[in-house]
Formats: sequence, structure tokens, C-alpha cells
Amino acid sequence: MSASRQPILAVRDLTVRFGGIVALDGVSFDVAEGQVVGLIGPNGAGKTTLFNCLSRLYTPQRGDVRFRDRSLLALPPHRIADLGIGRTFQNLALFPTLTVLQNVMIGVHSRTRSDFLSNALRLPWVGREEAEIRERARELLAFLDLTAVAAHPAAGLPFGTLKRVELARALAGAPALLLVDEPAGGLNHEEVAVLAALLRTIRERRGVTILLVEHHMGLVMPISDNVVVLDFGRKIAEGRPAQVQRDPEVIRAYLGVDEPVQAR
Amino acid sequence: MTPRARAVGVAAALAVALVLPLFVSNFRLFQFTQVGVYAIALLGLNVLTGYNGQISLGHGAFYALGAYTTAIMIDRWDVPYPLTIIAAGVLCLVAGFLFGIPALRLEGLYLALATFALALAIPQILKYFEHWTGGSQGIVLSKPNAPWGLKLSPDQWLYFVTLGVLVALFVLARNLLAGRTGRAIVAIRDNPIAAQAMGVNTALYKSLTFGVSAAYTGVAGGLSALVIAFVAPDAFNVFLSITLLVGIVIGGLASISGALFGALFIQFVPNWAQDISKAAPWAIYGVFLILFMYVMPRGIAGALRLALARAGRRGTGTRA
Ligand SMILES: Nc1ncnc2c1ncn2[C@@H]1O[C@H](COP(=O)(O)OP(=O)(O)OP(=O)(O)O)[C@@H](O)[C@H]1O
Ligand SMILES: [Mg+2]
Repeated sequence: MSASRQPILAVRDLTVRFGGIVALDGVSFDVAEGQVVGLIGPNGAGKTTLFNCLSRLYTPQRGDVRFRDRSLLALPPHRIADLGIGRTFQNLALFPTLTVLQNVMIGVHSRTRSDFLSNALRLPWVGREEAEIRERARELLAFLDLTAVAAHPAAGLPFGTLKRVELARALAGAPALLLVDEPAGGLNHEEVAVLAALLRTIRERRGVTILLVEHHMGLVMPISDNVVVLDFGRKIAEGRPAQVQRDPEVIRAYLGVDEPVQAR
Repeated sequence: MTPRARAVGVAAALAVALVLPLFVSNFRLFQFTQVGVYAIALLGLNVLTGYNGQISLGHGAFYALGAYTTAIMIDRWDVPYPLTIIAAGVLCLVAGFLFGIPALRLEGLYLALATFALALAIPQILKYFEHWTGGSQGIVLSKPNAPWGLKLSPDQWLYFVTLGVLVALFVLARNLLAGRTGRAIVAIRDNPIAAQAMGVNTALYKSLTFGVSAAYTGVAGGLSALVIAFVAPDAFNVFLSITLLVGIVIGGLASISGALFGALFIQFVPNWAQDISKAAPWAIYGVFLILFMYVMPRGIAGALRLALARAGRRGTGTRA
């Protein structure tokens, strides 16, 4: 990677306060195109808050986030997806009454254009667009092993399955940058290994840059090119996984004692 | 429900609707025309409340706006009545869209209250603009005759006009709700933040949905002016708005066919209640309401869907 190349994502001096709580405190880092960057830190460190700034759900008090050298802060939340940023949610944000297939089909919304009038009249090109949306969603269901539950409403499926539905829905928007918030939540050891392989495939075969929030070090450390560590809203370390794992400050933040952070 | 079962259901309903005028009295036919009018209004309200999750307790106001648009255009300017129905729809589309913009700031019960205020105000507003609306006296119209030398009474003709409009608007709504726009409309109801993250312009979609919903209800209002051949402010009181809400809940929220079932309910059940007890019809109506909700918590359409699914399962045997 040449040093002159623009990073796909640049976070600069990002600061978010909620009343007295400083959720993010002057955080800066870059994500280079094609990388997997791990974003880690103890509970309440500000990881999800950072994602919410990128999604424009929160507006920072200070600082900027630039995607391909364009400030996201000038955009409303619904423009983020068509810019090429997809995300999943830590606590699931699916559409419970819609089927799994329909949930993923909505992921294609930002890549399609038909409006109220053309849909009501069901113009021929709308039918073709709908067929393409369905096709794309089906392909992703197959990729994420969800075909069997395609017609099931999202409500009532197991947590791990729903996490995959969220991943499929995010990928349906063909993002260049994918924000994944704790994908391994509730998964067992083997499932985490499958997930790691999946994220690698997403990066390699689909060319998606990934920013990964995760507590499971066994997932983050092996697949990340770079790791950014937050604690109480501040960036306390950044570097290669091996470096970060040995960083005394990181060890203190995680354990309160001087033991290396183990890959669980 | 399988597509085939649905197609059979729609075809059967259409066949019944087409031959109905041969078998029922003029008065009954008038009542069924009213059912069609209500069904259009209910479909409009259901798009907003059932599908998009915006509660309106004030759709009677759009019904009134549509009715008066038609009545005033015919009474004052002799505009051909088909044009007045279109005008009623367009005017309500714009009014609903504009009302939908400030409504974006309101959620759930707060939106319900704001729309309720609209319903409260409308009869008095209509009386205030007496010069146009005829005040409390209202406006008397005459029913249009059947064109092209058709041997139909005005009531029969209006029945078929209403049926035609109903079918067209149902097809448009089905298309709107079946595709990309419909998924986005429901997504906003289910999880507005996630919908936004998927690229849905929730503000625009909600205002547009409000506009479409008001347009349907406005067309229904316009038709009602023709069918009843009379408009007066007190016909569009708060009770009308609440009746419409009752209709979509009883018929089935977020269901297209539910609009028709709900319309049958709000047209005929009050009459039955009246037949059962002249002294306390509303008490009887109330009992009917509670019974319906108790037996069919997802409305008539929901209960039918469930029954058909059960029958289908029994039919195919083993599959659970
Ligand atoms: N909408 C909000 N209102 C008030 N406080 C908030 C809000 N969102 C986050 N916070 C606070 O900001 C801090 C950072 O929270 P955040 O959810 O970003 O942490 P996190 O790193 O994602 O933690 P976890 O690993 O537990 O998910 C916490 O103290 C949290 O309580
Ligand atoms: Mg979090």
C-alpha cells in the first residue's frame, strides 16, 4: 500500500459527549482500502458510538469523519448507504415482521431507484429491478447459509442466525466499507471460526474493507491488519495485532493487571 | 396464503360484485356502494397506519375535503363529476403530504392527537367558509345518470363507478406495497433507524405515504358526495374518523383485503345493532366490537389467513 494513497476512511479528532459522559474524546485513525481494522476496547469504551457517528445517527461535538475524502457530517443518515458504507448493529436492528428474504432485499434499497409512482404503475423496468433485487438477495442468502429460513419472519429466529441476516442485509448494499458491531456475540467456538473465514472471504472475494468491533480476541487478532484500541473514549493504542496485544496500556485497560491480552 | 387461493378469492369477490345489482334492492345496492366507498378510504388509512405505522385519528378530515371538493366543483362550476373525483384525490394528496411534514416530528400517540385535532376542527371550518360550503345547510347535488344510453338507474351506475375506482385503486395500492417502496414503507414502521441505515429517506417516505393515504381517503370522500348527493358539515365529525380507524383494525391492519372486510363491518354492523335494539344500538355495537377483537385479534383478514393456512396444512397432510 503506497503511503500517498488516500485512506478509505479517516476519523479525525472525533469527540462525542452525552451530558457529562465523554463517549469519544479526540479519536483519530485511518482505515486503508482493503484492510480489516479491529476496533476494540472494554465495555463503554465508545466503539458503538463511533459507528453511530459514521452512520450519522450521532453528530459529534468536534472532529470529522471522511469517507474517500468526503466529510460524512454534511450528509443525512439515509445517504450513508449509497455512498458505500454498510453496517450491522450490536443489538440487532432487523425488520421483525418482514421475512428474512425481504430484510435482505431492503439492503438493496440504496442501490435501486424506483419510486412511488413507478411502483404503483408497475412499469416494466420496475419488474426487472425487482427481479434483480430478489436475485441479489437470494445470492447473499446462499452465501450466508440462510436459504432455509428465507421465508421465515425475522422475529423468532435464533440470535446467531439473525446476526447473519444483518450481515447479508449489509452486504446487499454492495458496500465498499463494512462496519460490523460484535458479530461473534452469542456464538460458540466453532461458529466463531466459521465467522472468521466468512469475514476473510468478504474482504478477499468481494473487496470489502472491514471495520470490526469485537470483544472476542480470537476473532479480531488473527483477521485484522490493524487494531485500534479505545478506552473511556480515548484511543490508547493502534498498530499490528501482535504489537497491540503486548502494549502495557492495553493490558492495563483490559485486565487492570500486567498480563498480556490473550487470544481467547 | 398461496397465490392461487388469493387469485380465486379475488375472482370470486369480483364475480359477486358484478352480478350483485341483479339481485338486491336499490337501497341495498346503495349500501353496498357505501361499502365500496368506505373500502377505498380504509385502504388509504391502512397504508398509513397499518403499513407505515403512523396513527391517524383524523382521516375524516381528508374524507370531508374530498367530499366538499367534489360538491363545490359540481355545484359552482358544473365540472364533469369524473374530474371532480380526480381533483379531490390530487388536493388531498397535496394536503396530506403537507400535513405529513410537520407530523414527522410526532410519534405514536402524539401524532394520533395532532390528527385528532384535525378531525375536531373540520366541521367548524366547513361551517365557517359558508360562502363556499353552504354552511350548516350543506350542498345538495343530483346523482349523475348513466352515460352511453346504458339502462342503469343512477344508483346502479354509481355502484359500478365506485366498483371501478375501487378495483383500480386496490391494484395500484397492491403494486405500491408489493415492491421496493412497500418494503421501505413497512421497514419504517418496523425499525425506522435501520430503515435509514439501509438508505430509506424516511422523512420523504413518511410524508409521501401520508399524501397517498389522504388521496385515497379524499377520492372516497368525493365518491360519497356523489353517492349520497349531499354534503353537510356534521356528517364529517370526529365519529367518522374513529369509525375509519375501527374499520382498519377490525378488517385487519396491514392487509389490503382487510379494507373490504372493515368496510362491510362499519357499514352493516351499526345497522344490525339498530335492528337488534332500538334503545341501545351503540351498546350492542360495542359488544360486537369487543367480540370481534376477542375472536379475531388480527382482524378479519388475519383470521381468514390463519384459517386458510390451517386448511392448507390439513390438505397437504404431513407437513407441519
Ligand atoms: N445515546 C446515548 N445516550 C447517552 N449515553 C450514551 C449513548 N450512547 C452511548 N452512551 C454512553 O457512551 C459510552 C460509550 O458507549 P458505547 O455504546 O459506544 O460503548 P461500546 O464501546 O460500544 O461498549 P460495548 O462493548 O459495551 O458495546 C457509554 O458510557 C454509554 O453509556
Ligand atoms: Mg457497543
